[in-house]
Amino acid sequence: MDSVRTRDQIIRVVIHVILIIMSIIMIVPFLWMALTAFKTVQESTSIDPFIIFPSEWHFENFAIVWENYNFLGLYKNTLLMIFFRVLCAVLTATMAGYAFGRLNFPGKKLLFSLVLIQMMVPPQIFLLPQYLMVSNMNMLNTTFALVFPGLVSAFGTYLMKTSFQGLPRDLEEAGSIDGCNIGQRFLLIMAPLTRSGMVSLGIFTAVFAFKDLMWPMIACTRSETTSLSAALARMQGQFAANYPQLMAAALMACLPMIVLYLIFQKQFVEGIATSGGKL
Amino acid sequence: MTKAKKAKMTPAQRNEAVWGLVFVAPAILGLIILNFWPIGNTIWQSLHRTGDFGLGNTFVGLDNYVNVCGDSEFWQSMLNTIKYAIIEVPFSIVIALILAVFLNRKMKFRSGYRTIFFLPMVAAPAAVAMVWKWLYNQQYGLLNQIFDASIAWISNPATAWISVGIIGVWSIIGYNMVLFIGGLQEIPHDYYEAADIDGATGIRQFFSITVPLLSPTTFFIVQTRIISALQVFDLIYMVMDRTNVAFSKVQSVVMLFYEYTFTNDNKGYGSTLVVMLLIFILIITVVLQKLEKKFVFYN
Amino acid sequence: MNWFRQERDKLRQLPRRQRLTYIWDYYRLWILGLVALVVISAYMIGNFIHANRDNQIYVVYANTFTDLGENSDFWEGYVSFSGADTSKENVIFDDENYFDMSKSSVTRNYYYEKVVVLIDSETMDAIVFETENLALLGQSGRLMDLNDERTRALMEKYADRLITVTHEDEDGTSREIPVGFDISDSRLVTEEGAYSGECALGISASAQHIDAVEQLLDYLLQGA
Repeated sequence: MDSVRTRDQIIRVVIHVILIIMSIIMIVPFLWMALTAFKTVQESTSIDPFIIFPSEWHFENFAIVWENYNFLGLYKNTLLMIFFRVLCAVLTATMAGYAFGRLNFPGKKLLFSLVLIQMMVPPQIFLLPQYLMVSNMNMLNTTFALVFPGLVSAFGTYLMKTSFQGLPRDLEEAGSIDGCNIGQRFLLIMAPLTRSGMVSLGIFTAVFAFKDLMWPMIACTRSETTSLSAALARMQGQFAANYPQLMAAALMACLPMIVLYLIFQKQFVEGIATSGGKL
Repeated sequence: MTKAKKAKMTPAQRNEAVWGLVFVAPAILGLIILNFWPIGNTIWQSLHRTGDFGLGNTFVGLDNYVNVCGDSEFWQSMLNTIKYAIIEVPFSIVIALILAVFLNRKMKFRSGYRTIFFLPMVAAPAAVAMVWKWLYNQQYGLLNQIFDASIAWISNPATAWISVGIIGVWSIIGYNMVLFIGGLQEIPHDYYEAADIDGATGIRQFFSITVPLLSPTTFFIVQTRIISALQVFDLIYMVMDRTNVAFSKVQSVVMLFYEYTFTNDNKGYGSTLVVMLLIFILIITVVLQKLEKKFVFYN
Repeated sequence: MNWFRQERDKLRQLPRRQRLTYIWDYYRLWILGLVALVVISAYMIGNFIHANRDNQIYVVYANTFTDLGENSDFWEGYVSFSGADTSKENVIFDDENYFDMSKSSVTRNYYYEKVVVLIDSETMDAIVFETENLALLGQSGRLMDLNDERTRALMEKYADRLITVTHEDEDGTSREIPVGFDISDSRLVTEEGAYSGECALGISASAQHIDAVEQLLDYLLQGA
């Protein structure tokens, strides 16, 4: 018994060591970003790789950026964009994913290949046509314009299809015996079981929306309607050499994303408690 | 033919078909409007030569395709792209799977680790670019300082693709990990409980339960990763300057497309590159879908 | 509809409080979805009513840190000079563009991509840029050849200010193409201080408001 326990402990330590090493590798650019935000311009461009920590911590970089940019407005625009994109993507993708993964209907293969093909072309080709659409709708510089390219998600549809395919068959059969129609079976039985898939999709959609820079820059040229990343790109134009301020702004921009992630990832439910047989 | 099929449908099947079509309708309609019109437009453009200085386009048929096929720059970029994918896809998936399995069990700092692995996804691209350039710098870069060497990480044409691939692996791990964690969470607990009772070890559980039950997720990640790795663009663009001697050995197809469409204003040729890449990815996808039936386990 | 009748009967049997919880428990997703749908459509309709109008002119001012946008003095000056009715049409001076054609930057030239989209979508009419950059942009064929009949009169009017690029045709012959007007002595430099060195104005290859561009040029060079 004792040897089993020591073996377990060794395994645990090894896992932690691996995770810590990986963490260090993954966190470096982020740390660099955070540390640069507190440096002076001179320190930030020093070529000595071992000036890692600022000699003095300059908090004023944050204050300067905060004063010069309407961060509250930008947060609002970005969060609205993320909220609606996630809502639309999860809604349409879950419905379509259920149909592709669980139902039979004519044209299924053809329609699903459309979903795949969408992912196979570089997104730059969508810019001009989508701009023309929004422009013709007279919707430039609105929240709708920010959300527009994210109304549906091919990636999400495929992800949710995979999620639904992974669920046990007998769950659904139980539902159909209970007299539920397909819509009820989807809503009451199947959809709640793919919550982890939805959370992954939510995280992805949010990150992509947050990182999307090209579209907000084109569709929302006014600084009061645009998103954080587009505003950051503008700062890059203005303070090309002032890395500390740029990084302070970038750090402030991604804080809400980290908070969102912390909330989202708690939603990864701990597996389904029972497999189909017991339901 | 279709009519005969329809007539044979039972009411239950017809009911299912109606629900199915209703459920896919919003997504498919959206895709057609938002994405398929532009794709059709691109295919149409690829049959034209773009006019300069306000002159219109001229229809040239398949001329652009003939030119692309004879363009050594295109084939080189295709090779570069495939080489990149060969590094990025397998490594990022295996590492992410291991991390996700570790982080799926109850342990200390689990949320902390998960958050740290998520951070590269939201870090500012400018910061990421700066850090990698600094790490790879030949004279004063951190990597060369640590190994006490002077390796030309990104300016040696023979090895630059590996260095770029490493950045790819690094930036994709987090995404794959999120997907793996989502997939792992959907595996019913009692499979593991049953295995515990049978006395199966962790590694045996991994291969006999996790791997088969996770195979739909794994297949999904492989499929989507291959698709997006073959479209690599930003990642290379941010560390490779045009003046870099190794540039032509890492330039991807999408970078070439960007060059033609945006910098040279030769949209016709750029669109042709996109269509060629699309055909290539389609072929790979068809092969993968065939393999899916063999290797993927669905309940 | 069978289902509807079933549900109605079920609800009738329940007391009021439970009826509400029942509806909430079973149909909250539908309710929330419906509410969201209503809110979104109301928002869209609202937007549509307050929608923008057509553009009188769309000008991109690249690489300037001076505020030339809506309601700046410079903008107001142009509006009163041209007599544009801003309650009916938009005068857009887009001054948030930073890119340099001569070097590839650390990241992509996002602003360049934006300008390309503005040109290809027939939105942008004219661009003000440092002369060197304008020539490079002209090389790519995205600016109008001023010999074009649409702009010939304008070219002749400001014939002493032309900026030309050398373009090689497919048959190998090279020719000089005028792509812009030198405006280094315009009010943008002298009054606004928006550019320190040489700057020039080019007309987009797909410009839709060439008359307005002429007014802009007149306004810029007034008194110069």
